[in-house]
Amino acid sequence: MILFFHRKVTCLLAAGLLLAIPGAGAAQDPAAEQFEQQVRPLLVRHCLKCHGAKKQEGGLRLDSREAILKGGETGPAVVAGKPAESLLLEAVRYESLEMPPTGQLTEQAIGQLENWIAAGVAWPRASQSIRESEGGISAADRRWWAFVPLSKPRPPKVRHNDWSRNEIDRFVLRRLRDNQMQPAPRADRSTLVRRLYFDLVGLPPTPGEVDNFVQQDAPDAWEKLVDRLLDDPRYGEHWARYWLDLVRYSDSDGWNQDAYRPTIWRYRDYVVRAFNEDKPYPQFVRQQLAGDEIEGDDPQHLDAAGFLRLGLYEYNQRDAVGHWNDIMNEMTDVAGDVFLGMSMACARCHDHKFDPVPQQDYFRLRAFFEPIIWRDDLPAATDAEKQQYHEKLSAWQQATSEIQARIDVLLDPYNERKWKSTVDKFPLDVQACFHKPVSERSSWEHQMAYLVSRQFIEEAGGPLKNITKEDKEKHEALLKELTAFDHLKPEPLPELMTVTDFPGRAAPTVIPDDPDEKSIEPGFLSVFSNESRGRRDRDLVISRPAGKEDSSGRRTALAEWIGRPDNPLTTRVLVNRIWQQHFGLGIVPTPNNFGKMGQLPTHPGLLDWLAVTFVEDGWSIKKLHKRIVMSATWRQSAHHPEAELYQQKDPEEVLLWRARVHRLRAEQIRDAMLSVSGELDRTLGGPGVEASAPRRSLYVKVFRNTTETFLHAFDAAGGLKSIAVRNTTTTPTQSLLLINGPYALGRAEKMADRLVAMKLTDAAGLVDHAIRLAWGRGPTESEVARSLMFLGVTADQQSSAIERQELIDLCHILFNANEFLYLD
Amino acid sequence: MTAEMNQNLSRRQILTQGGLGLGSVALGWMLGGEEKLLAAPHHRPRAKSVIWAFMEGGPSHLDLVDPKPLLNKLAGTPLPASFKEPITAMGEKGSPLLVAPRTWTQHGESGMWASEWIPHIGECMDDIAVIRSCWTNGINHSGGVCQMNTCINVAGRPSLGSWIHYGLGSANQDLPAFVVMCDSSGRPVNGSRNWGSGFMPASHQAVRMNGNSPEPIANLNSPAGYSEQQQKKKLGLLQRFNRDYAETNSQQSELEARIRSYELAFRMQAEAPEAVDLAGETEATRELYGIEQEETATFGRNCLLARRLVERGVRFVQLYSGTGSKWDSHVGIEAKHSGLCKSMDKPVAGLLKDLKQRGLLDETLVIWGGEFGRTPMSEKGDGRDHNPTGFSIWMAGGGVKGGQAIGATDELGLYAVEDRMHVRDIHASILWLLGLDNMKLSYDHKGRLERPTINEGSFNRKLIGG
Repeated sequence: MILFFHRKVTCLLAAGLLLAIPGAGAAQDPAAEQFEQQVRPLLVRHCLKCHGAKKQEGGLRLDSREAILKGGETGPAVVAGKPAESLLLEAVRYESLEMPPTGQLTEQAIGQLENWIAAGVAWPRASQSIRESEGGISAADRRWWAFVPLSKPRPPKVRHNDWSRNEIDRFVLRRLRDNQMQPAPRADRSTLVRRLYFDLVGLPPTPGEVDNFVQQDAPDAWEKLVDRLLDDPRYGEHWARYWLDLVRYSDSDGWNQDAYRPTIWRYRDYVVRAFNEDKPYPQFVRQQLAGDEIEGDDPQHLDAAGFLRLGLYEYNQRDAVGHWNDIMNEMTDVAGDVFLGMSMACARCHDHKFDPVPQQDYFRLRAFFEPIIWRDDLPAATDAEKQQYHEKLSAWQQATSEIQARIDVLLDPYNERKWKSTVDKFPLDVQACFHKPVSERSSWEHQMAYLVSRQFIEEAGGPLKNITKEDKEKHEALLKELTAFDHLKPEPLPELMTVTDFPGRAAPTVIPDDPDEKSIEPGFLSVFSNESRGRRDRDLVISRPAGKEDSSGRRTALAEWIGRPDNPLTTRVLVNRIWQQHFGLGIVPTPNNFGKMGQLPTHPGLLDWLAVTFVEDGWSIKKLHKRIVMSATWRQSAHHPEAELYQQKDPEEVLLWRARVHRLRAEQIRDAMLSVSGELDRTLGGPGVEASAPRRSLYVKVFRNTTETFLHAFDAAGGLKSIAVRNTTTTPTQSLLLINGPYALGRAEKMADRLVAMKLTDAAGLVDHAIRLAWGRGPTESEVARSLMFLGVTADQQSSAIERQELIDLCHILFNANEFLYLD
Repeated sequence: MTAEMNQNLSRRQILTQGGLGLGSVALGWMLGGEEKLLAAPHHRPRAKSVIWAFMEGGPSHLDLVDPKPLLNKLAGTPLPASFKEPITAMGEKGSPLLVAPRTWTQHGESGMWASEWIPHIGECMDDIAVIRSCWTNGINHSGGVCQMNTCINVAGRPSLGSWIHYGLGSANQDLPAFVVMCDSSGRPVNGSRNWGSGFMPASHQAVRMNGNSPEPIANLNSPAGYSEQQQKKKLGLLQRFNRDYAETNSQQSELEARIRSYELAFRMQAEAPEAVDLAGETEATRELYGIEQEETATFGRNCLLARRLVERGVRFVQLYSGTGSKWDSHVGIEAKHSGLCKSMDKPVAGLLKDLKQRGLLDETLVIWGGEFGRTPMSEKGDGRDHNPTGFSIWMAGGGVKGGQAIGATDELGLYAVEDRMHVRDIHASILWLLGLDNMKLSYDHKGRLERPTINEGSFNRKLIGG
């Protein structure tokens, strides 16, 4: 049975690949894989320099299937399926021509070529040429679907269509009809209401909320419910989590110490607010990339720029140069992933092999961030608040100056020693940065000095670790004296983690190992520049931002370019992300990779239509949600009468012929248990909490090294890499955790207590309510019968006849059940 | 063969990734039989499984397997100017060279050197290939341990055990394929991400086992106070509910997979306690591993458990020695190292001897080493700082030709100079011995084919006498 089941899945998937419904990605085809892994690298490395776009020795090109089959002056290079008749193979074997002339290929490589020819010269997306790695940007590159300007396609006309609710449905139905398929019927009302709650606010509806909707027949009941949930502050808590996965949010430093970051939650709360306020997307982008460059004193802009502090940090790393380089590169990678949907990291070390991203582009993107320095000294306060604080503080300082002076005398030797030992541990070039006056430093040198300074405080227990007992007592006595002036002392301003540009000289961005050490200027992706019109970096204007003249304005320029309505990547990437969370699969199934190694959109017209409409709607994400959940597509049932046939036609269900049954995310499972048990504390925002607190999972501290057991088991993001699609695993670890672990059992106890406290009269009524709470629907007769038998009572017995332990066990099983864990 | 293998691998990818996480069947380490149908090596494997004794904190190659007469000659003087001064973790500059006051013995037919700190391992030198020319990037423990496990010092990639699990699957349906055991309840540097699966599904990560606990795997036992009968009754109800739900949602493979995951969990409840029960082991075996002596009891037990696990088809076992950077010897290296050597020497040697006498050594690759070595320069007078630029690890069994030293460090043991092996080469070699090609094993992540050694690294054929 097990075997059968598995084989069947494999066959179905394989069948799907052969049918190759247009638009469904075919990246997993084994022949394609062989080409990508073996043949393509071989051609790029050994052949294209002389037989590519630039040079065609002997009239031969080897960069497309067509060119290879056509051949050069001596005839076709390859005869598909016939290695013995293929000149190319003769040449690499050094039997006639000796190619490549620089040295013979390994036997293994020759064997790979032979296999490839014998198997018919597979060439994925046969029309495409491969890139020569040093190549420039070709017209074909610019025609790649993700780089071409957005169009607003007209929603297709579909005849005899009483199914559609809005334009989305017409795009979807068109493709279904083209494949002789029909959508599934609408899901029933209790299924829909549960789906909607989890989808928009991440929590289950209460039985009352379910009844409220199910029993209503007003035509606008659905729309009203949608509006209400989008206005619910729990919406922001739920949708922020997707963004936090993308930006690899964590509450800790990573590396070994993995120290808690006590203020980074301000960034998390900013994201929650941004979703709840439906902040227009360009504003959201700009605040995160360049919040510090926005005029005015709104502290939330600095919170938002905390985005640029989310990377890893190692508190005792002496290789400050390498450390900072890693941090800057990782920041560049994440920016590419998150905002551009382009996997840039490949181009860090070499021109991208598949996408038109030369290595220069990577460093042009990095150059936007180059002048950054880390700031821990900017409080989350307005100018007026800061002024008030400093006035009070100086009064306190004056009043206590004599004591402070004595403290200084006492501690100065310790501080000096610690400074010396801290600085001495760094390589000499880093020490030199530290000793340089600030006014003479470059941004990089200043950041080096910052990295040194932080170790003064954080490393090896700080300066006072080895204080003598005597001095310690003196210090404590002085601190006690200070308390007499506490009434003058202002409350400290809230701290935060953020960045600014260094006001002085920006360090140059240089490609590693470039012998000329040429400075790379900020710039956008080359594929968008238009050299034919003699203009590179169309519209790149970098100027010092108004009111923040100390800043270079580089990041503002980047943010503005990303937020342009005609930026073809930004809007496609964003609407695809939102779509993906609603349906479980993006229109582009690889949301962080819109390049050639990603998959093609399944509904390209729909993607563009959504993107353009999104901009017309004022970049409103909430309007996009509404459009989606109002569609008939989203409201389909998970059941389809033709499911068996359709699964063979479209095993990945990319054509959207029914709703997907899918497991809840880690946070949804934990939050739903807390909600059902009645424990959920609905406080919004604030510092992170321990996992034992009954707060929403969003607020549970995320440590990079010590993952929270329950959430991690269900595939929560770990904060190390940008996650656009979480893995969804089904493991025995999860089963053991749910059935034996303390967390689910603890929630079951609370749920049982809640049921008892409701004083429901008869046993059947109690079972009915328990199932409604946990599963969001009324039980079937057999479910009631089974539950009563399990509890050892009859339907009409008093609910008080149920043993507490039996009731806990029933609740526990309701949590373990697939009806609880899955959404249909 | 190659094409067929690729097909198999891509099917595996579909199974674990198909539908990009939804509607997919990502059953982890319990797949057993079925997974074997799908996974296959790239070439004839020499080893079936790996036991990696990980000396966490960085053992001194200069005091164990890489003797340097010049070091003792120059002890007390600064590093000669002809040696480039490295960036050291603790940043001491210009410290004098520290004597390695060891007694060195040549062992066996091969005459391989081992110091008096590892007399039992010394007896096995004819089975051991010492790689004396290892190097790595990270200068700190976190980066070093991360790199030795994941090939790169920055967090986020799958560990080697996860790659192997992904590439070869499991050979036992009822036990995890990738197991980690520590010699204390402490936490190794970086915690569980050392054996995490990075961007791969969590089903490929290791399971931490504690053979000394009545619950060797977390949540393996029924909650306290539950009788078997009660537990069965609960499960009966659960499976009824789940069957009903699956019936109304036919063709939803994930639902079926979850039903099975409960069945598998309970098979494991039966199997795991037997695997870790040492009651059936003879006195002689217990003695061989040093289980009866206090100083070797803990690591000895873990070594013996490792043998029992690989016997049962577990693919990759990692044993932490000195859990929590205890090998780190910035000060007082003599006392620290001698104690730790004692705790691990006899157990590791016992493992080699036991595997050999059972005919298991040929198919079990045993690896010994830490995240880096230690400097010839002193630190704080009588300690040694981290040395990522040259250090030793050794391998035995699994097709490795013993009784040889591969590569060399310079005359002071500071830099690897001959036949240098980066961590990438070490990983590529381990994979090769298991029948996996480091450039063919790939995983599609965000549209990029990720490979275990990040597209670099190669097998060092000297390991098999080539």
